[in-house]
Amino acid sequence: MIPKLFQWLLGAGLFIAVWLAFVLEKVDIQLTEIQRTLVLISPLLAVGIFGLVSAVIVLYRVSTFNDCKEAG
Amino acid sequence: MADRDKYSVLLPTYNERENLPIIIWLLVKYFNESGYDYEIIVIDDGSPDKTLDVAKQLQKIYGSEKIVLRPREKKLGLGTAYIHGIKHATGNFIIIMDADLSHHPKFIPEFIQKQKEGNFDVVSGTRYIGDGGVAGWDFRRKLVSRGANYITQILLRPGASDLTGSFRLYKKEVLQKLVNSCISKGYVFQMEMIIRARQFGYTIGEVPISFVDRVYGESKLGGSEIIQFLKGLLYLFATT
Ligand SMILES: Nc1nc2c(ncn2[C@@H]2O[C@H](COP(=O)(O)OP(=O)(O)OP(=O)(O)O)[C@@H](O)[C@H]2O)c(=O)[nH]1
Ligand SMILES: [Mg+2]
Repeated sequence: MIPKLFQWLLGAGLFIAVWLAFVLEKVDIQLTEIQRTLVLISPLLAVGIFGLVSAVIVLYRVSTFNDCKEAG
Repeated sequence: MADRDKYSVLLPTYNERENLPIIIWLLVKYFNESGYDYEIIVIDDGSPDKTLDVAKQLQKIYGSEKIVLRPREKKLGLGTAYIHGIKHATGNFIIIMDADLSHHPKFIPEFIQKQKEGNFDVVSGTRYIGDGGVAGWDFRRKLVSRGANYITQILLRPGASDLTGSFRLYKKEVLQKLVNSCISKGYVFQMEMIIRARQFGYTIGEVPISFVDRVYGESKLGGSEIIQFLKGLLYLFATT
């Protein structure tokens, strides 16, 4: 198994490669203005959404963290 | 019980003279009730509060069959305390727990049942699922705990919900192998044990437990612990 760090680097590298291809218009796909903006900010969006979802999950888990009575 | 399984409980102690009589009383109680064969190995590291004297008293009460003393001269750390304990364990299963009453012996029969259910190599206590939980933690501590656990789950995908807990049951040879291949210390040591277990392809069962903060003795949770945890996390992230 390759270490987790390199799995992440691989994933991120792949994403950035595809993203750059779009941003530098190396692909032959016509995009509307809105789509172009979306692609441009997609890394930010991804990070933002991930952070938001994470925050919600963690807060939910904190609120449902069992408080055990001190049993003897 | 007709089976020939024997459970060796490793109790590392450092300044636990108030806690030791209670934990041992509880252990004996629950083992007698459930009928499993057991021994309790106390590994005291020359505690200045003379925990060892208390342990000797307890050995007189419960017998040297059940209470085995394997003290060391000075404080050499938890990891090596386990190695030291395993060497002297006669059971085919080993239970590791803290002696400070954070871990309640009432869960041990559940650990044993769980192990038998799936013939698991490791059974890990977890605060994070089912009826598991903590006692008397404020919002901030819960947040730190849940946050750290979330990040760990994302980065390491360990296949176990509680990595820093140290209430676990192992097959003896499995623990032997894990202890030998783990180099970390402190919280990270417990984390590395589970990660390596997964790496070696060992099966892991989980039992929900409640975790209670120590009442007697001093707690050492602080900023340096968090730094250590993060370092360990990154180390495991980059190497496993
Ligand atoms: N033999 C031995 N036991 C130790 C050593 N350090 C800690 N222990 C014991 O290991 C168990 C866990 O240590 P704790 O000090 O409770 O660690 P913790 O649970 O992370 O922290 P607090 O309970 O908040 O202080 C306890 O039973 C201690 O007595 C050591 O160097 N040698
Ligand atoms: Mg403790």
